[in-house]
Amino acid sequence: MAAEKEIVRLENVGLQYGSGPEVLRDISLSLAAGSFHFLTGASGAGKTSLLRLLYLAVRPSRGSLHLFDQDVSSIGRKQKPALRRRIGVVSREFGLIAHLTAAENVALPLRVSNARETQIRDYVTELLRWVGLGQDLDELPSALSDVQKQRVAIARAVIGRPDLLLADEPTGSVDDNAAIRLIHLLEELHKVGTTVLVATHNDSLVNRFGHPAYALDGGEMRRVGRVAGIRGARRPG
Amino acid sequence: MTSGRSHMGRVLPLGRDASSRYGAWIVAATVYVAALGLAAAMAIASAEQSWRGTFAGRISVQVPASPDGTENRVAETVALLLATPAIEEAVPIDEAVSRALLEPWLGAGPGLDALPLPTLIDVRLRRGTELDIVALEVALDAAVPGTRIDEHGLWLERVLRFTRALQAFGAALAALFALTAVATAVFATRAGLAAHGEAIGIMRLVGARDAGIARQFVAHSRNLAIKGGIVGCALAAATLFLLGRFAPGGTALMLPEMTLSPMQWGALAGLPLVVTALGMASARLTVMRALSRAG
Repeated sequence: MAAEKEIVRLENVGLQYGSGPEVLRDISLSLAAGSFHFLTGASGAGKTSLLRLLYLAVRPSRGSLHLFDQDVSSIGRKQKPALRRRIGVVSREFGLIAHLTAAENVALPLRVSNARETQIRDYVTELLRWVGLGQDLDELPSALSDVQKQRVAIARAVIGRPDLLLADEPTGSVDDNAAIRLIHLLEELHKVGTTVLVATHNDSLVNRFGHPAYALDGGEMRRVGRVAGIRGARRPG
Repeated sequence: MTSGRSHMGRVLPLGRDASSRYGAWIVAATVYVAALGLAAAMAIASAEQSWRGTFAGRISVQVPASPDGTENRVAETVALLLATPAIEEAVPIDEAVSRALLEPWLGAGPGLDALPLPTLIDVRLRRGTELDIVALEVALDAAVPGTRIDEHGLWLERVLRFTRALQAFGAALAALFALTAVATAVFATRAGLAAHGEAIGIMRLVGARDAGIARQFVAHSRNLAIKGGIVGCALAAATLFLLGRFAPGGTALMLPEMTLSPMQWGALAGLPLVVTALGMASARLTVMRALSRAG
């Protein structure tokens, strides 16, 4: 059987900010195309740093990072936009532009790609309806609840039909029911072939959905597998 | 169908920044001063040309008044001058003209009329020939004692040295203020980068190219510079027009008319374009460098 196509591959990656200590050490990780993974770990474990590596906000201090079969460990500035357009990012703080409406925020990835306005209008309306915000197209983020903001952020992350979706604590500021509905939304994207990696410190959420999980502890990848099945397990050595 | 680019201005609303509110006026003020400096330099250059045209190839000969009869001495001097191969023309200046020239300083009346004035002879030299001034002066003095030659050259050289310094000052002033206008564009760009850092970060996250982000700053800088440049240049043109109208005639100050040729007016009108081009280039450079540092 042919090997599954890898969207992400990290080999012995280390990350250091300036001259500080390494916040990620010897990280090796592989995400197959169309997979859904959780990335767990306590606050400060390095989840956000790992995601920042994956959406090219920082470069690894050592090791190799491959995205879409391309070594991006030392990629140039000019090559980043094309790769970033293949990656959707949902951040913990929503990352919405305060003076733009929900529709304008969602449209942003298409606008920076110079898509046609008619196409943008159709896609944005469709996506905001899909996330349940069909009536809130013209609302500013300040008029939306945290759950609604997170839905706008998800709509913006997926409007460009990304190959890889990275979500950093997308459920961090919503209640359990809303969190479950948000993960269901991400699962729908996964069903259409998007590779999804969700960073969360919420173990019960990870257990409920049963997708494979990578776990970070103090900057090291300690456990691999479903949280329920690997609790207490340690990497050999 | 419209392009998404037309909507990008809303993502970074640079026009609403505090720096933009006053930026155009600062550019207008600096372009105004730069335009006046440039106009002054160009007008002085024109005046210099005019002086050169007036005084180059000419000398004056002064024949002192004599109780024995000045007319004969003048006629003898003119004859001697015209006999010199390097001299094409020698025309005595009418005594009434000489007195009229002195009137503003000495006042009209019997005092001036009683004053024995030397007769001036305006001499035009033949082109392409060399005049031996010393030999001529010796010959004139021998024929008509007390006759003197005024060469203009030394005076002209001093005047030209001064006008060149004025020109350099005007040009430096124009350059300094044009650069100040450019610096205004750079500061507005930096303020915009600081004010919209978060939105720029989000734009890059969703795949915006640095050149695309810089384009918005360049367009903003262009708008500032064009608005300010046109206002500044128009005010400068109005000032120059009024100065031209209220300035006394050239002869009153013994100065040539300091006017601008159509080409010089064109150069003045090009100043906003130069400032705009420099502002746009500086804005792009500022943004690209800032984004490069941000990684």
